[in-house]
Amino acid sequence: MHINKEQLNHYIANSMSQTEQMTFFKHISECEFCAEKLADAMLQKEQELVFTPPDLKNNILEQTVYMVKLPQEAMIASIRKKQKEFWMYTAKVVFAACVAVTIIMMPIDVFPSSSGSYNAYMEAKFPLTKEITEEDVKNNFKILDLFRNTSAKISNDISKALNLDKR
Amino acid sequence: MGIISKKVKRGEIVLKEEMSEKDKEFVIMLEKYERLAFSVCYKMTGNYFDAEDMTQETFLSVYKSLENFDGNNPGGFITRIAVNKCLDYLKRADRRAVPVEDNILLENASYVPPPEDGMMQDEVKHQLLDACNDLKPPYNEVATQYYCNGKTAMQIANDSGKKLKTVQTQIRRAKEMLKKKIRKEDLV
Repeated sequence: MHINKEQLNHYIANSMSQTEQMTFFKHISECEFCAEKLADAMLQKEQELVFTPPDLKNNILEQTVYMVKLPQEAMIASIRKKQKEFWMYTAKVVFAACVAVTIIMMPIDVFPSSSGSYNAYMEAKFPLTKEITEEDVKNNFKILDLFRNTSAKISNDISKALNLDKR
Repeated sequence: MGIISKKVKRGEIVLKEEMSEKDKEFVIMLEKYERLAFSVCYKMTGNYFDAEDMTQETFLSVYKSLENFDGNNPGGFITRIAVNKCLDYLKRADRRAVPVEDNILLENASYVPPPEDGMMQDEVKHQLLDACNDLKPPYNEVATQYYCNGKTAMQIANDSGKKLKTVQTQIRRAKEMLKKKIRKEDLV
């Protein structure tokens, strides 16, 4: 049995007992025709419909329209971004590695005459053939003495000058 | 990064050409019948927060079964789905409640007379405000802003300088607390 107008009015006016309401809803759950009638009746009193939580619509959209469309686009975009980042990173690492290798290999290129090592090169260029004689040592000391004497002289002069000033 | 998310801010719904016909139809239906579905759910579940869940479930179902829908009277179509969802919910709720021996007695005991004609809005607002105020901070404030002042999570985040995610989480927790609270009150 379809729902009649009286029942509908009772429902809208909230004057149905709970048992009546259950019967009412059970019928509507099975009957498109009466569901339509109820919807129309409720929509006619639109101002009495309950206000909804502010984000309800968005939450529903996020689980339906956005959910189906967005992930595909967003996922492709994010995968592309990640790929780009990965290649940029790889390029940087490869470049750094190349620079490092070049620096390590440089002595070989710069000192081609040697047999590959820095020490060998230096020995070849500045051979330690000459033996150190006593004269060399004395000469070295002469330079040292000269330096020492000069500095002593300068300090003497300075102290003298200061003393004169005091007097 | 998606086309839609870039153009649609939270809180405003815009139809875009990129949307399929089905999606467009759904968005229009949601816009038009959200309050109808919610009101049906509210009357059946008797509380605002379960009504929110049921409305959400209703529209998810609507979206899934949109292909089988002939396009005639979407209001009736949605109402029927909402009623079915709520009947399922009530069955579940019955099972969750204390084991029942005398069904009629319990039905009568827990029966709260619904607000009179035209009083629905005020009644709901009062109930919500009381419930929200009873929460602990910061949930009371967020819940009041959201449920009573009708501010979206985005607006609350902008006003308070909090992160959107934080606000959304707080709203979700507040809702859980409010739900438990209202169910308890119903049982007493």
